[in-house]
Amino acid sequence: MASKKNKQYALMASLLISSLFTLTSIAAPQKLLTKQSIHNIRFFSSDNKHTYAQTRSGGLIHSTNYQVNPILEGAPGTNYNITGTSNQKKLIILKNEKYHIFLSARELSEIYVTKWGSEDKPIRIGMGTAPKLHLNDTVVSFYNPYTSTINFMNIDNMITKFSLKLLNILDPYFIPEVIMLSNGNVLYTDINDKGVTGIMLWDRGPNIYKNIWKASAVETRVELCIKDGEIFILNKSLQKTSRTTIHSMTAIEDELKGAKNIYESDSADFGNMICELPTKLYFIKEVFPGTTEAIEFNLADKKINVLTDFKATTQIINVDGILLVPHEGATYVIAGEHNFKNDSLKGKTVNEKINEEISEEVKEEVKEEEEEEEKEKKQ
Amino acid sequence: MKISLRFWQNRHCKTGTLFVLLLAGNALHIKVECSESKNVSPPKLAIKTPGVVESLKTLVQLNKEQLRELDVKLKSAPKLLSSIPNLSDIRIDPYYLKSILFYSEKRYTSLIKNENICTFYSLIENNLIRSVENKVSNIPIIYQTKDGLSESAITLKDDLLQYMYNTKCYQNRETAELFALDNFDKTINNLKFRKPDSINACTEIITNWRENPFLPYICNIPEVISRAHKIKLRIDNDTLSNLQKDGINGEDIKTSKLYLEKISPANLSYIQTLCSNLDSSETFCNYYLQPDLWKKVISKDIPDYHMTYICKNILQKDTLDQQSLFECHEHIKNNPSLCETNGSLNYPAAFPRPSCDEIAQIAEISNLYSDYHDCPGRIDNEATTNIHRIVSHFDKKQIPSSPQTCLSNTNQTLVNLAYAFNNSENWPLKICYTDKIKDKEVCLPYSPGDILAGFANESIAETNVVKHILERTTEKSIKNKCRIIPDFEYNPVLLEYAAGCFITYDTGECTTAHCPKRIFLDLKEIKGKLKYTGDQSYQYFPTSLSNDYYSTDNMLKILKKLKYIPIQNLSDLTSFLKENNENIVHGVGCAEDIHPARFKKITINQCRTLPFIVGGTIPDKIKPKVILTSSIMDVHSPITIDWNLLFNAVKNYQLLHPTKLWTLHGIKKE
Repeated sequence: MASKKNKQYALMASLLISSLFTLTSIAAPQKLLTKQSIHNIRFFSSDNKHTYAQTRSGGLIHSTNYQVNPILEGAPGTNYNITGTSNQKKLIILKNEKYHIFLSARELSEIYVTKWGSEDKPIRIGMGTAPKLHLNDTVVSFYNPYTSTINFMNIDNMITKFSLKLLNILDPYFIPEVIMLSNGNVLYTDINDKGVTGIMLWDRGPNIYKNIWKASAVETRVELCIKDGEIFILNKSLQKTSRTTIHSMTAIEDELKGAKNIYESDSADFGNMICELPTKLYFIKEVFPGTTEAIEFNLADKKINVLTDFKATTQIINVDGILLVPHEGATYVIAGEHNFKNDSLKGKTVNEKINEEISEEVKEEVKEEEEEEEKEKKQ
Repeated sequence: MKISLRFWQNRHCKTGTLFVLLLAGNALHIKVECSESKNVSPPKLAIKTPGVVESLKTLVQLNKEQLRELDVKLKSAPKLLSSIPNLSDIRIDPYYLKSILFYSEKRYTSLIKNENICTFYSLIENNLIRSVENKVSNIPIIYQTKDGLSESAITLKDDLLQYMYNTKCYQNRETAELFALDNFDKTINNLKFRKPDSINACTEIITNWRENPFLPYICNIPEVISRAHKIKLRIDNDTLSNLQKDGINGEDIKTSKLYLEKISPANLSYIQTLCSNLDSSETFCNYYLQPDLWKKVISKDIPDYHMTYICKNILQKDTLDQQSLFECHEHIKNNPSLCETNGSLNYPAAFPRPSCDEIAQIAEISNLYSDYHDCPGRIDNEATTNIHRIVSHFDKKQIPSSPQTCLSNTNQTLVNLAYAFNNSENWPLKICYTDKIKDKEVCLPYSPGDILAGFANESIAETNVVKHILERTTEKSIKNKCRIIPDFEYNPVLLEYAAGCFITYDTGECTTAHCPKRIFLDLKEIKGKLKYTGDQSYQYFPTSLSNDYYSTDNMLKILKKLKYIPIQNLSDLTSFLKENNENIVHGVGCAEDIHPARFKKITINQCRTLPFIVGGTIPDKIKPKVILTSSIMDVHSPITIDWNLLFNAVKNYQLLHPTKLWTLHGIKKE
């Protein structure tokens, strides 16, 4: 009890002392409403032209211009996830046919790559987890936790491949953060034999690994994010005892310069930082002891706006520049520009509009699913 | 006790009194009587007298010099007390007394009072007080005869004790007899080791003990055990030469063995705690009135599995005795972060683990029984770890655990379930080979690792299946089943590997499904003849309403006679877990909500499926918490998470589930 109070005081003190940070709260986020289950949607574009959803039969469909096309097929129960970047050139699809029968925090999914908004069949590039697009969507990286290997593939030519093996032998569930500064330089996180997380810079040419950042304790985890050459490093604690910091650095010609401490807090923030939107960082902060919310951190004036009021917010997801927060089965929009308001269907919710993009064909399938669910419930 | 220092010069006496006060404060009640006796000539030592304010170092040094000089003077005057005619009184030489005060532990010197002079001698008898020579053996004395003669001499400890017990401390002789090895069992069983339940009761208990004439004999017990432990360690570590080994007095080892046999662990723990804190009733009382997890284990108030598996890793020992637990407790107290990293290589799990302090706060509250050590990091399908934990919880058996068997122990639970449920045909893990006689590929089910002889389904242990296949493919008869060992252990130069079958694996990259293995038969590597296939895909919770019979959830219910209760809210959870301390709750949720600082969502509707067990709750009006052991965490390192996070985790998975199943169920025995 005492420590809780102390923590409260510490938090208040840190807010008072540091005039840099101001904590304000803004209006409650808008709920993402859809006519069909939002839980089938796997990706949508911010311009509302492309929607990807999975079907009950195990397939993945793409809908655009009132047309629906199957993209991938799979066994019933197959689960898909899709990620892309603001470059809008490529999408990475993860397909896991054993999603409900092989429960794993280290799940290895089939990884496919496809052109943004294309009807072409996606190309399978390997098995792994945590895929990420780099260098203007020309390279994809993905991680294999069983071999502790980060694999890279040039998806322009589909030939060039390379990989790096982590030192980590202590945390089987560690997922590294990866940033490609250039074709020759990779920034990534690793855990050394003492259990300490560090940031490594791999210079592929001479094959040199350089430790450029080292955490102060074993419980520290590091997140990396890059936006227009500026790298943000978030240090957070897996325990509830340490502080959170964010540093920024600039990558100039493969060199990292000018590390600045831009945020410091005694609270146990979950992090999960998003830096791709202009002028702000978004992450999950412990705003009061035990209460975590999504916040935006203004890089110019260091002002913090609390964006949610859920008390137990854990994640922020960037879907083509629209930031979403999942909470108790619903999804909320907390930031991001989209052109829904300029659409001819003005006045409708984001999700209604997304929904209407999905053809009648899909709706029928959804209806069937709902009827089936009803039947099962009755049974 | 009245220790007369009448022979002291006044200056000496002043300083001596100050020593006593300085060294022992108010706790030491040796009355120093400073009066001159006309009949006694004090020994005149040519040593300077220290001033009132001297450093302790100087005083100790001075005392050493005084004793050295005394030793030189008395060396020529050894006396057997029975040989002194007309002996009327004996006192211990004041310089020697000072030495006792310097070198003995305060917890024991604090027992010496005017009223109980005999306690002083029983402390000497039990070697609980020390002098400059460490163990008290030869004691300088000053004796008086009936005709007024005062002389200094040196005598044997036993001789002095015999004299004192015959003339003044009759009870000591009787007490010593009670604690002799022949009577020890009866004596110790008649003693009452009362644990305090309030601060007043505690103060009374420790006061009573301090006045109890048995106390020095009781406190001798942990001393003997500790000495024996040290000797055994030196013998085990082979740091002694044969000559030294021959010179070891086995008395302590023998006596220690008897003590350990005759005293219950709880009483032994009580004695150790009591004797360690004789000078600090506060520490003693705190120990019992504010006990943490570790103290409760040491006191045998709660099962020792809460501590032993953690301590085995910290001390790097395979077996632990009571003394080791004390040793481990000291380490944990001084460095609570030890629990974060120790054992991570041998029993891989999410890293780092919680600190010892965090574990101590919650582990006891969890209903989950875990007298074994598993290794989730080596299991691919986390559901297998959860099932193993649920079955072990309700079986309430101790499972012998080692880094080599933790993987096979966990898998074996699943094999046993499948086979007991007549579902062996669907067992997914198989080793295939080409059968020359049948001229086709044959696949045999296997359970990864070894299964000990006599245990269920021993025949499908990987070690047996590989042996069988090698016999079929090489047409050689293999005497024993294969041995499965880490690759660094296999050394063909050694005789033990010269014959037989060995399966080696890379310890760095080995889980059930991802484990590059090599097979050797009589030193020759067998390549390309065996193929491991399959993965452990199965329904943990049913994924459709029409096909739930073979879900492990259902198998557990039927085979283990369990009853499931849906848990919809915190109130359901709390009341279910409180209803019976054997009840546990299991479920599946999204790892990103359960461990949000560890797993990040990068796509909409992302959810890494993570089974978990909830063993308890921590009520809080604003932020109620649950005690959770997720299937990637070490079984002995539960964490607390907000109920809201857990609810979110289950809810988010429910919406992705094919039948929208709510996957949070209480489990109890029917």
